[in-house]
Amino acid sequence: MALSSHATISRQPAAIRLPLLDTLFQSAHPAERVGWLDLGPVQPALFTRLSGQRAWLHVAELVSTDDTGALQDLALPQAGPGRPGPLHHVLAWDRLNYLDPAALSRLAAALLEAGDHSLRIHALIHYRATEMPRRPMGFTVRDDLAVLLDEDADGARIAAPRYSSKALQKAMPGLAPEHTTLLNNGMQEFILVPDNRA
Amino acid sequence: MFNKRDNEASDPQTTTRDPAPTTSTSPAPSSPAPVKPTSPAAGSGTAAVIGATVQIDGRITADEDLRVEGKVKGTITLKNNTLTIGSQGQVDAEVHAHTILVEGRVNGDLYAAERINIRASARIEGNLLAPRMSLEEGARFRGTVDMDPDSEALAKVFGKDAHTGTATTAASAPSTASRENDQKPDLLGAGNHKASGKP
Repeated sequence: MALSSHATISRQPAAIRLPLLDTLFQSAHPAERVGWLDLGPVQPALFTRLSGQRAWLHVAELVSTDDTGALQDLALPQAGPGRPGPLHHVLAWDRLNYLDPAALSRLAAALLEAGDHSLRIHALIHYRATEMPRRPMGFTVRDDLAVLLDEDADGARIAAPRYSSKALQKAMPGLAPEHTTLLNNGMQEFILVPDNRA
Repeated sequence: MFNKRDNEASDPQTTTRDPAPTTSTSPAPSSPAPVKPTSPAAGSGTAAVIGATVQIDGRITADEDLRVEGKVKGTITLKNNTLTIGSQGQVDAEVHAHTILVEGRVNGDLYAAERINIRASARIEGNLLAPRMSLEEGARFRGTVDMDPDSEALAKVFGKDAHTGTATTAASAPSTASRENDQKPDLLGAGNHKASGKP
């Protein structure tokens, strides 16, 4: 079987610390009824972390709709078993990079509608590099809260929108950055909150 | 259809069958007493099996462990027992069980009084409600997970002490299947299963 040059490279997922994600996890008291939304695929560590807590978690797993990497819109369930209360914490991972401003605007509206005043959205933006993986990366939260990043094996890349704080705020009306941190890997970590709290 | 082996299923059509019921089918008593799981089959590894070629469209209730390797559409109620959705199983149903293990495909809401375990081969779209859950790497899931031990939804299904493993008796909330199937022949083996073609 012929192997591409990409496939012959043995890659290990890189582990990084996400200080703002740490604060998000640490701010969630186990006894409180906390609503989480994960825009990425389900991951066992999050189940383990939330097990035994009064939390609920909606796994949306936004996926690409075409080869451009563009993601489907978020379709949150109506109130009921699928949405038993208001959203408090959103794990957007790197998904915002794959949404154009119009899609970001729709996402912001959906999150603000589902969240309450304490809504906090964690996101990672490709900021330093001009390119990013063609598809969203895999993120695995370890027990120590370090996060493993894993790119598609094909190594294909597309232009990164490199959203700034102002660009995100403009594209996501009603939300504003509360904290940002530039990470060693060139990504910028954000916590977005309703703009009357920022 | 139901038996202790999974290779004897012979009816690939939508099926409506029922055993001679042994659980109460009387109307709900005014003050149902919670009971603890008493079935000797619970967790014993001797679950009845819905074989891979069996399709059921309707309600299933049982007082023993059950493994689904076929297709089930409707509702499954095993409030005191363990339901295993095997790697070949396809369940498009609302499920109420004491413990649920998922290895196959599910489209629907799963309510467990005690625990839901999701194996790597599982593919689930729906909502999961249980005080404790585990998920193996590789499993696919889209939907909502609610692990609140004080969940109102769980209490509504299993009674107030759902997370302690107790549940209201079958008699306290008799299923439509129980009432409908009293006169049907026993085709399901020795277990206390009920299935109805009226979801």
